[in-house]
Amino acid sequence: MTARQRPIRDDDSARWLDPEPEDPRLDPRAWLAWALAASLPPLASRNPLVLLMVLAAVLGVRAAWSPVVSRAGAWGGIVRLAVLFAAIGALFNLLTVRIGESVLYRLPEAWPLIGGPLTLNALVYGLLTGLALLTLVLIGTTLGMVLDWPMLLRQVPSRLTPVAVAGSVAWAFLPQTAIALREIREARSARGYHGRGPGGFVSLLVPLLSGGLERALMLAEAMEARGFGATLGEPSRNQRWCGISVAMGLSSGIIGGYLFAAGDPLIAGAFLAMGLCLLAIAERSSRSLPRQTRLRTIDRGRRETVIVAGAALALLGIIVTLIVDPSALGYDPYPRLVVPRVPLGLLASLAALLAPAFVVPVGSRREAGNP
Amino acid sequence: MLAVDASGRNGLSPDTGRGGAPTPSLPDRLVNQRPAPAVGVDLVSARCSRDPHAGGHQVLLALLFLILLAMMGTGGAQAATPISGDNLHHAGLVVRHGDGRLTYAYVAFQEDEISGLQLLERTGIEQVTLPFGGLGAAVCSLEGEGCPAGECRRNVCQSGQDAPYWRYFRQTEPGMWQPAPLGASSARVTDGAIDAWVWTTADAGLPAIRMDDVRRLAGVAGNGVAASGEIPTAAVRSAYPPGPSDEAGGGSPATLVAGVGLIVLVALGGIFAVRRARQGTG
Repeated sequence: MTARQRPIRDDDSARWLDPEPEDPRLDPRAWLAWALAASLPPLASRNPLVLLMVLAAVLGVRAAWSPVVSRAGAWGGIVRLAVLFAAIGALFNLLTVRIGESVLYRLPEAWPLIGGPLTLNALVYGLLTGLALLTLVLIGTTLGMVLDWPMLLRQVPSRLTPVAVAGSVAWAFLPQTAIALREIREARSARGYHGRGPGGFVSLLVPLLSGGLERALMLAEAMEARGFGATLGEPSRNQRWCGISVAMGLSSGIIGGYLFAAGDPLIAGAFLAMGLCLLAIAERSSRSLPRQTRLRTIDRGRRETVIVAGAALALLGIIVTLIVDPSALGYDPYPRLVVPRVPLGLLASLAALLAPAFVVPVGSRREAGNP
Repeated sequence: MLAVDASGRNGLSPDTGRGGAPTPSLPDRLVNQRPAPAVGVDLVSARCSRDPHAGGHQVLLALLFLILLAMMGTGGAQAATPISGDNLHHAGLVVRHGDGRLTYAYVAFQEDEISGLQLLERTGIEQVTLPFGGLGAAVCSLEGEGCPAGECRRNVCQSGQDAPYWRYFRQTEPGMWQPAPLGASSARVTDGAIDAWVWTTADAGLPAIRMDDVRRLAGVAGNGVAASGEIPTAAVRSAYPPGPSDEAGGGSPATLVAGVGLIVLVALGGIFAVRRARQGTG
């Protein structure tokens, strides 16, 4: 039930006339679950229908949440860069892959590297790979846009706080660099300087990089000053081993995730189990770390439930497809272009990724948590 | 020497008409030989005419040459008897490329047996081979796929443990493709044999195939004997086999429409959600 649908009460009439804005900050774990479910299909599939379905859902979520987050523009440059890279990748595939029956044009064989037939098959595969790349970038930037970083850091277990600090700095580097680029351009324009060409780019590059790094370091220092990742005194030998086990646990988790996406669920399961065990061991030995005081608990409401349910449905569809019919995820345009398979069940489950678009807070225009 | 002068094709088989096909064996040369004895005579006479004291030698050489020609002409006449389907043997060859492309060749030969390398050569398929002395020849490249001669000389295209190379197989039973341990130069090809060259590190990856299949896939009509009574040119045809996508199938048009409709529905849902969110945020 939204604020507009709230029944009129005597003591609440003023609030009904001017509805109280909803808090756009959601439990970050809900967004992480959504991003995980949305990322798996572009990692594991080249089926154009699957990719288009995920892309449509992600674009819908992104467009719906853009009005309530002020940082949407900071990721625009990265998306444009991803479009450029995707186009270059498609062109590279067209020029270097010679396989396929649908020949578009023949370059002279004497031309090094690119000489030979240019096939529609290679172009299609390059476009699909570019589409997958673009979808992944859109998922990452949407997550960066809507995720409430302070809330996420408060949720991280004590042992993982250093990792979270480093992750925050890394994740914040690109959007902050984009903001720095805009500011530098505005400052240069205000001074009447419009540097164009390579010379202008070089004069822009140095302040851009130094500005982006400076902002990221300031963030890291601010977090350190607030005690994130701090230890009580000198770290003991046991704590060092715990640090190593955290690193190994995270690495095992990432490898497991990749293997799962690559269609090797058995070995992936072994890696994921090992990663979880290592992280659990590290968590148990983190009692010597300073306790974080949480003054505010996260209220998980209807919106989080909808997002998690959508992500769970999509994940279920992907896992079932990977186990029962993994070929439905694949598409091979070589040597002959054929119509892709239509996994209707998977497509229907992936449609649930659009769920966050329907739980955008109304009457609110604020940014969802800066770190 | 005679074959070179007579055919004027620098040892290439007049039958194949493809660059790179090697000189056929002796009976073939005799069959394909077009008589041009005057060339040899003229050469001899021109050289000898510079020596005024060599008149007797000139006559003697001309006589010897005529005798040789007569002998060879007799042999040629014997070899050039009309060829029927009964005295021709046939063998099939399948070339599987790294991208799955298959080339089928149907080769007729008159000998009782030829080597595996000769079978490959007679197909006329574009190839690069390197001799390794008594070990025979190695196949470096077929139809543009393979490795350059320098690398082939060093490691026969096996640049790594998993690097593919041209492996030679023979179908011993239907569907049973065995690698030939002695290599193509030593392997004997008889009537009805089907060989394969596969760009791989592992097994042949070929299904069972019969000679009728090879003949059909190579595009041969009838019994493969040319109407002129000569040994017919090897029939060669390349094709891509059905890929996994073909086997999997794209489903019925109705399923495709349903899938695309689902995506459009999600896109429309996204647009609706965006409009609703923008109205909500004022």
